[in-house]
Amino acid sequence: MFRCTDVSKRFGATQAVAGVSLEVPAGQVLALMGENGAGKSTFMAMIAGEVVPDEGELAVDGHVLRGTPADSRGAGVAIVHQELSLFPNLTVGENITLGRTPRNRIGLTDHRASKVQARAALDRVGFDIDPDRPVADLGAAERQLVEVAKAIATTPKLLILDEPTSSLEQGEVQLLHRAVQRLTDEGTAVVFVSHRLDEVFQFSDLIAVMRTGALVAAGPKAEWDEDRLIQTMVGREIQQLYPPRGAEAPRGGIAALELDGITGGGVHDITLRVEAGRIVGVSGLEGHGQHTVAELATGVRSPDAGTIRVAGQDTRLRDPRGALKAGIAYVPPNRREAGLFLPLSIRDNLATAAQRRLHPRGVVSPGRESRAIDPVIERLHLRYSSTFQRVADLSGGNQQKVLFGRWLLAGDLRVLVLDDPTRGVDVGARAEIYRLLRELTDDGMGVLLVSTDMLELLGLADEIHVMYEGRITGTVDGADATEESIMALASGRAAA
Amino acid sequence: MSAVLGATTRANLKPTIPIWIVTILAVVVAFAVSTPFRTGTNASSLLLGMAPLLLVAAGQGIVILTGGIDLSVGSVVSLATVITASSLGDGSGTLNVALVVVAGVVIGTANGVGVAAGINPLVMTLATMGIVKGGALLIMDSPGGTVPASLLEGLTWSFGSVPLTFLISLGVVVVAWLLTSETRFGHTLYAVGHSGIGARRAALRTNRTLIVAYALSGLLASLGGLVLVGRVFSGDPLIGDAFSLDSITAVLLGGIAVVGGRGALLGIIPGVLLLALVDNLLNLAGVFSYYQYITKGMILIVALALYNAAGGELKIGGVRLLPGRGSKPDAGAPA
Repeated sequence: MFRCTDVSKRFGATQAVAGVSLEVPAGQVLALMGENGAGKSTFMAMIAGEVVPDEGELAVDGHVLRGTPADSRGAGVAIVHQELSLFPNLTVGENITLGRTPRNRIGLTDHRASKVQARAALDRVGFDIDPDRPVADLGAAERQLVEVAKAIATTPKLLILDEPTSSLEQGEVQLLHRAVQRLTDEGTAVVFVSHRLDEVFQFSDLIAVMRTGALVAAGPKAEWDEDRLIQTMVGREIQQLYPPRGAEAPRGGIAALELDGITGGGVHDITLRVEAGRIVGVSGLEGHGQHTVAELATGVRSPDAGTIRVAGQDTRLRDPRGALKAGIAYVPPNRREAGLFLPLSIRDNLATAAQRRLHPRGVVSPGRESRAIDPVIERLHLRYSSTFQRVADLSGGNQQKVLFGRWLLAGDLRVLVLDDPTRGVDVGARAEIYRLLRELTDDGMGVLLVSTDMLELLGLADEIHVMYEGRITGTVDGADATEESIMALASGRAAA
Repeated sequence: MSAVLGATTRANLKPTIPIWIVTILAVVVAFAVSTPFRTGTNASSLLLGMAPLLLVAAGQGIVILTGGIDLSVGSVVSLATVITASSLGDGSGTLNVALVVVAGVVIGTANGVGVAAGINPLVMTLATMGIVKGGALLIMDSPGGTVPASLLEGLTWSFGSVPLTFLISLGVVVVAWLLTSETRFGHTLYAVGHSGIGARRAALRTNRTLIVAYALSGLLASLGGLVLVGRVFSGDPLIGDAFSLDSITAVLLGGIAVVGGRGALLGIIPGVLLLALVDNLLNLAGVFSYYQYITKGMILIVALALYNAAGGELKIGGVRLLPGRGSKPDAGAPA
């Protein structure tokens, strides 16, 4: 059983967690919900022993946590982090047994026993993978399952799952679900964070909602439904997650960006047009080449064959810089690793792509910068304490908004290419991002939206290309598309 | 094989195969074309010259595996020679050896504690490098001193052309390799090398691992100094300076990634041998010694390029020179 009483934590001016008291009985699953920035991450970091609370007390089965990772782990806390924490330079088995590798008589690793242990842990998740495979070779979903196997290798008293399903497919989610059930049967308490509402209702026994650091509501699942949950999280009613599609945007004419028979990097014969004013979606299950399409369209990768046309002109995109010169900006899927400069301020992050425009003579003028940046920040609805705040301290949704803001400042953009822009972003920030995208297209920009979130594409895109095994298997109109029709194409069951 | 060595151990050994081949080829060619190279005296001097660098580089390698660097090893080598050549105790040399060991461990531990406390390794070991150098100069301000006779006898013992110190150094590298790849400590070392924050999060003993790594580096450097006395027969407060950079070169040649977490300590053996061969062959050929530095620098660049090619792909200015195993597109910020 896990209990915390009156726990608070403040970072500078931000009250991250305010007086949270909570109890999770043994064998129960608590879904901890809240928008990004609501304090969930800080709260879980306290359980993990990575953050020491200013006030209050956390206890697992009566053992009061002292605020170090080793102490929390010793007390029986196991964590599956949102940012995966496996070591890619070690194998699956070595990662699972790390820190308690079985040894032989002279102190060297006992590989046989080690493999047996690793395999047992993987079996508990029902994941069949060779423990000798280096983690570096695994995909995101496989890593996630290994991470889970590692966390439950020793039956923990409290298991924390921080968005454990963000890169899993349906079948893998079921694996995880069954593994968690086995644990709860053995008496493990589980705290579970997810942004997928359907999962929350499927997985959990209790639901608790945090908002701006405080616990605003908690209770058994039966007391909740999706509407109440969303309203409680956001603190206001979201009338509409997706902005209305614009008037039928003009088709035909010259496309802002056109891929014609593009082949390379595992995708074949990709042909699509992104017209000004339209949001063109690319859908597909994880690993069917849709990310590669985004990279090919933005100069991150060079195609082996085919033509790219920008505003009707044949263009060779050598690198992202060249693409930007042609008016194509790219928002990569992994904002923490590949998009933002985390230690730098909001201002600096926003200004990076527009340095030359803001400071044509090469000398930085803070006034000029403010005049350009402030309206953009306004437009983004950023939640921040100062524009000099480090981006690392912002929540995921706000980080994503900063990344967009960079391109709002850059100017002269024809096409914005986004790859999974709302992964791990909460409902409220999502709605704002969607509205922003629609505003951009209304201003005449074209958007190529690659996403693994089918509902997002259904709600937002004017046209959806569906990929299967590196090829576009069909194209559906955004307004008429259904989950079923996309799924049929994405799983290679039908051709449009 | 698979039951004896772990999968990661094997995976880390694979990239060192080319340097083994190159080094062995170099020895064979030298043996075939150079008459003076074939002599017993030359073999003996080559191997004797390798012994100190093998030890120092083994320690440096452990530290580099954690993602750190130890600049103080050179000064520690000097200090060790100075202590070895001082008149201490009953003159048997036991006290000298004990002091050398203690000095190495203490300095190394100090480095480790500093780094574990959050001081950048470059800064921390740069500071101790200065302090230790000053200490060595205070003890002995110019080369000299007398080495206890019995100690010197041990340090210069050899089986035919093979010096005892070389064999011991070789053994130490093998033991250090096993320690870093086949033990719990080793796995933690690689984990810390990949991500210190990640290791802390995983509730690993990060601080202890760092301290032990630097302490071992200090110890191995001071033993390197002790062994060096077997070649120069005296103490010298500045003799070790070159070891800091030479040990880093040997480690990198051996295929250990400078960012930490990847590589095998065993690769140090061909790395050191290759460096020693360059010196030896250019000396025998009567080439002006400054060319040795240039040659070694160029070998390092070529070797690192080849290691890169084995892992990713070798590109210069966007032009692909060698195809890589898997293409990793640089998804950096498109700014």
